[in-house]
Amino acid sequence: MEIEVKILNRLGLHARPAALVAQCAGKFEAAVNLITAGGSTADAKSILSLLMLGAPCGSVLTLQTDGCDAEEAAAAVAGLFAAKFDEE
Amino acid sequence: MPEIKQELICQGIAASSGYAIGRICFVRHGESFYIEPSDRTIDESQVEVEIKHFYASLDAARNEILTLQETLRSKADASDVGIFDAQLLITDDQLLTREVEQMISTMHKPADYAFFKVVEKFVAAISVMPDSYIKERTADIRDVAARVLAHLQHRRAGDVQYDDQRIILAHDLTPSDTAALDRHRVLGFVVETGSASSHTAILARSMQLPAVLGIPADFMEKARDNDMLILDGYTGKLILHPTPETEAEYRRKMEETLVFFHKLDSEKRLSAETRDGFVLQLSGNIEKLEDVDTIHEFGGIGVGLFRSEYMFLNASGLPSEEEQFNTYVDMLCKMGREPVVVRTLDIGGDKLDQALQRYAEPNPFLGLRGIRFCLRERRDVLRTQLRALLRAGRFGNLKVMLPMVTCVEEVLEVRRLIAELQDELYDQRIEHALHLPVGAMIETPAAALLAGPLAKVVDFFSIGTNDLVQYTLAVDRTNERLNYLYYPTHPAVLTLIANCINAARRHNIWVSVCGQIAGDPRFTPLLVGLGVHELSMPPSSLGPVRRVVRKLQMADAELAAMQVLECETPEKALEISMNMLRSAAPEIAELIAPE
Repeated sequence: MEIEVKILNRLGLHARPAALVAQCAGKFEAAVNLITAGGSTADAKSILSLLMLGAPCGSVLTLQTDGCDAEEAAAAVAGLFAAKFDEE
Repeated sequence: MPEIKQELICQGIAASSGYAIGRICFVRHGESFYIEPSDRTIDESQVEVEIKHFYASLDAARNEILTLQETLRSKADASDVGIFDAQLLITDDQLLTREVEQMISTMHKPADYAFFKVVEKFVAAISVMPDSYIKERTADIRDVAARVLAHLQHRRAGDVQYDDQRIILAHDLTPSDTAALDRHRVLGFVVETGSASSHTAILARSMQLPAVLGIPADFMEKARDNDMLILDGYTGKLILHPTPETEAEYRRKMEETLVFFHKLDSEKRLSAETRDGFVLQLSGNIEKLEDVDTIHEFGGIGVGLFRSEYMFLNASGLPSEEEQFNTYVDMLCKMGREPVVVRTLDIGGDKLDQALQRYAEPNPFLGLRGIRFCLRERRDVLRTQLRALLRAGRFGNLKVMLPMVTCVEEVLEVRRLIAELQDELYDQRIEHALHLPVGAMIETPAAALLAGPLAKVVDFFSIGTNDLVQYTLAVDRTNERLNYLYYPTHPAVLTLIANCINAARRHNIWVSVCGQIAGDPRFTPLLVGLGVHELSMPPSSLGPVRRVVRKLQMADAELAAMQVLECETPEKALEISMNMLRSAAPEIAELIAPE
């Protein structure tokens, strides 16, 4: 499934949020990818891959999940974005 | 002839508050671990050994980080320990391990060289990012890489060597280096690189080590081992070779702050009472059950705001009634008779909503947020939560708070639902609270203007200033470019807050403030003067705010509040509150905004 997520925390997708996302995505069977408007794709289970997106505050990403628990994975990862990674 | 050294002053970035006076210990090895290993080719037969060695080194580094994290957990606050979570994930990163493995097996490179090359490739990719904050994070990657490399090359990332208490000076200090410092032997540290937002700065603050970062290279060159140095972590000033007079001045300042913080901590059992006997409740805002204890650690009373959405965000599915019940009961048991205010699920203008099967909205901040969402979209979620709350209510002083209220009917609807659920629980012979106080979060201008009628149907108000400012001033608080307009002391906002407090007092109901300003001492005189009963804040803010409350005269604060309400500009209003803070508690004013 595919949904849009927005980076709302001021500092963007830096190390700590990327760690949260990678940890969270790692819990699921489903493949979890984040895609920028420019088309770069990151494997959400890899922190380095996420950091390479360099997504700043305000950017909108497509969250793409595929697999048996795709829906749960999407919900959990989207939840982190919604909560601004607990930063503010 | 003995050399007479000139006092040398330099200005860096104040990264962590506190003073340090002492001799320098120059740490040079910081970066020496991380240098490019020699490029060799290994024999086919060695490939498997090298790959094994690579994974063993990753494991060793991981264990080291875990130990560090554990050590740090006792020294620093939990959120900062999270820095190492990122490092742990890097040691686990499949993108990285796959590529290193491939380089070893297909190109026949030794593990240390392959690892270094792959890491540098990632660092290079991240360094070109336009976002400077993310770019700075390459330091974390190199930090963990240095650790792994040390193991790959059979070296250990050793402790900093120093004898007695010293000020550590380094060109670069990694988060691991910082965490490995022995708090009792280090007076503070000075680092040439870095900024106030770097992890090292964050760690220094939570370890309460004074630190100054971003030092000009020429100053670093003049400093030598054993030189005397004064470090002022409040202003970012460094003084090399201080004269005896300067040193005496700083020793006096140091003494004063030490006494001050000692007092602040020893005051945590004292009630938050103004000098003329008006008692406030200072409580904590928390997201997780585990945070409950920190409220008591800092001398707070009760949970003023439990953001229940955390339970919903963390679980992969929705939390069941039983799970919620257990969380609430645990929290109540820890709090004894102290009040615990649980805010019902508040999902705000963004995409989590889709996870809960919601339609995308063109303007989510003005959409189905907070109680609207629960009442209109997912009543089942609200029912489950209220049932859990009703059942838990027997175990302590539990209250429920509704987010984003804009009209009386919303409160009445929830009250009817509660009555209905009480009947249901009664029929099912399930024990539950017969009375569950219901409060409204005042975070929209509508609720603030309607405070009178609302006060008749709720048991308490809690003013959520962050959203109230955003909605009153039509300023998106997530939009950085609008920062210059985001003023909690805007006359329009203050008028609404005052209206709310007055209505609450007129109808004899409790009123608290739980927004960001509740924990900011700059606003304490103003809020106390306006007559709130309770301030709910992040637990670490409790100490300074309690001190300010204890130094205030209610009569003066009330007078100041009246003047503030006459102000035509946000700046003027803030100035009045600040002036009151300066005269009542200059020590706090000095700390947060030195003149």
